[in-house]
Amino acid sequence: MDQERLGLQRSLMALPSIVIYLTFMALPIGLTVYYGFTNWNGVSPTWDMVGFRNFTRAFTDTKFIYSVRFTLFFSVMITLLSNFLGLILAVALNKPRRGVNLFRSLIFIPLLISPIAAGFVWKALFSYTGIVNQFLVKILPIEAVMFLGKPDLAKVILIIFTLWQNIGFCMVIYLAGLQTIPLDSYDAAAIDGANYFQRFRYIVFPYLAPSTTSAVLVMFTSAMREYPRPLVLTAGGPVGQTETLAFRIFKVGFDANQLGYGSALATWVLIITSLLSVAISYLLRKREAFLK
Amino acid sequence: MKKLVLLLLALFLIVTPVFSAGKTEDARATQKTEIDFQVWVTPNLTVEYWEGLVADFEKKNPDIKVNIIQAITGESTADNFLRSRLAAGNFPDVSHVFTEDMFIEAGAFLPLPIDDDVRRLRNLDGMIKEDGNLYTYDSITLVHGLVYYNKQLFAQAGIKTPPQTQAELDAACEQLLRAGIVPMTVAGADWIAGFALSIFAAPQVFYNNTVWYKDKNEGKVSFYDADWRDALTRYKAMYDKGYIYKGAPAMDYNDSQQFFLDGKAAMYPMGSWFSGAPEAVNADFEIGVFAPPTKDGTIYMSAIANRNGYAVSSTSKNPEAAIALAKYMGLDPYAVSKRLALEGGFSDMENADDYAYDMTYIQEEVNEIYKNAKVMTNNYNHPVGANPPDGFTDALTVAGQMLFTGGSVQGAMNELETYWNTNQGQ
Repeated sequence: MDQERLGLQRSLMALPSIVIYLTFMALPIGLTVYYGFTNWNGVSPTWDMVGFRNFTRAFTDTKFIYSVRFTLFFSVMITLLSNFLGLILAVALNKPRRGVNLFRSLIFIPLLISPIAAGFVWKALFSYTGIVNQFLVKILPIEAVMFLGKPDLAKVILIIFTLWQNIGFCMVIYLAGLQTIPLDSYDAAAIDGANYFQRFRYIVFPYLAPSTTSAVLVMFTSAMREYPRPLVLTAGGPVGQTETLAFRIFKVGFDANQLGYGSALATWVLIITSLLSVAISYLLRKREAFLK
Repeated sequence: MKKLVLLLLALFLIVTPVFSAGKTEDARATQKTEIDFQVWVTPNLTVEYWEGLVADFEKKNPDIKVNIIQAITGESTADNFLRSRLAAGNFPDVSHVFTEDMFIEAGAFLPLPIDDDVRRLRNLDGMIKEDGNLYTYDSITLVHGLVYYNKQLFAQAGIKTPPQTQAELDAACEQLLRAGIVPMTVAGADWIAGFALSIFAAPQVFYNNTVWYKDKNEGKVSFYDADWRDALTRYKAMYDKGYIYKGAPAMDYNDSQQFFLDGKAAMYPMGSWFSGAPEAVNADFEIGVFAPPTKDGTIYMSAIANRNGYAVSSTSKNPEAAIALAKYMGLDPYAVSKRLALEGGFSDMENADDYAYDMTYIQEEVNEIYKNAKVMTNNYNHPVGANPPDGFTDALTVAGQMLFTGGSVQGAMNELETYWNTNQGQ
């Protein structure tokens, strides 16, 4: 009887979380999938069911296909670079030294700034008449550079901007991971005569496996959902070359008023991102096996 | 016992102000009818402008209180925000709307009464929808396509009169280039790339066919036709030859406008709202204006009439008050002339003199062109015989940017044709 009551109590305690999850996660996802099967324009009180038409249309939509390619490229770059640079910074700033907290704060602060607000600053820096161009033209015998007017350059600036905001997150995750490495492992390695790079390769990097899994997954999934930075910095241009998946879905759903088709695209993105995340998670968790 | 007394005392302290506040609110509510009014704040129609008009309305209607709601727009129109509110079930009583058809179809707007004031609208028949109802009050015509020029730079290059034909425009650009002056600035990094393309294409395409969008829907014309090919080829050539500033692809709306105001470019294609902007009037040089040239020199003008009106929610709890506000914003001489002055527009009322405002010297020039225009149509995202598919402006932007970044005319035609065919009727 007591056990039953305890079980009931536990279930009741979990109920708020379940309700919140169902209301704010499961229901919106379910509605998105449902609207993908309709021709709803987002306003009309009625709509028709159109079967899989919206889902198959995506295969011939060159703009959507381009945004899939660009977003994957963008996500891979952001995931690799932010983790690589975040790890280097974490290792460099791990030991307590003078000024280390200041450096950690400086690297972490960009993460706290709204991407929209930061986007306006970066746009002011890199626009044609922006601060960077004013400086370059002053010190070098060159004309202003079209940083945001040429597709390749615009992509590079977008990636650097995103990295600037994200490296701090990876650094903090890796710093936390570094604190968990047993000190006796370092001592044993020192007795064995391991040099700095050997210590990093055989001790630090393997022990950081859980941190890597977290940082990689968070970076990858957030990059796959990227929307505010291209919106402010490039408006998806030039010629739609910096349109991420979220940006394209917004344009289809809200500018072209095809919420049904936009929902179908969002469903595809959900499927693609989920599959890739599961695959990445599976591969990275294998590295964690030795810790158990 | 002590705990119980303390608990009751605490409850009393909490409950008393809550109840008394409720009574105060109730008392206020009986005095005034409150309505929500969604506005779209732009560089011309500022928060102060809206607040000023609402204050005047409330003064004239002391029993109505208006709550201004500012649309969050980002890169899109205020209508996206309006749509979110519709979905959320808190649609404003009155809204400043741009794409009313979608909301009418959804039954979100109330049919508006047509009284004697409304019957003075010259385009009233054009504003009444297929179901026989009027859904917005708006009496303004805005000119969508003009070319502003720096009179000082024109004189410096030896250009005596503004160009009227496309050949004269090319000659003027060559003269300016020879004088070491950038002929024209266009913002290629945002929607202006497509807007300017529309400004220069309209005198070619819509001048020859005033119902082009309708014909496109009926399959009678296409973007591969000679007029569009010529217009796109010209636009590309204007950039390639240096008539449009080579930094255009990296400049946004503000950059480009400032470039012109700094006297760094001689011409600036823009709508009539620029003629009312204080920064234009206070520029260090005199600004002139001409209609985008046609092939034969006939003055053509692309303008939008009665397209940014004020609508009332069909679910408004205070429809009388809401209708009063919509009518004030859309038809009242004080409110409308204020907006006309800021946007350089023209009254569409039979009693247009009642809507007169102190025109800036640039607006006087726009007025002259408006009076002498021989052919006038809408353009861009407004109906040219019929509405374009939603989001068509995005295709125009992409096509314009394509032509600025080394893309081909064929590619731009493909972009426009594909967008239209794929999205029309979806």
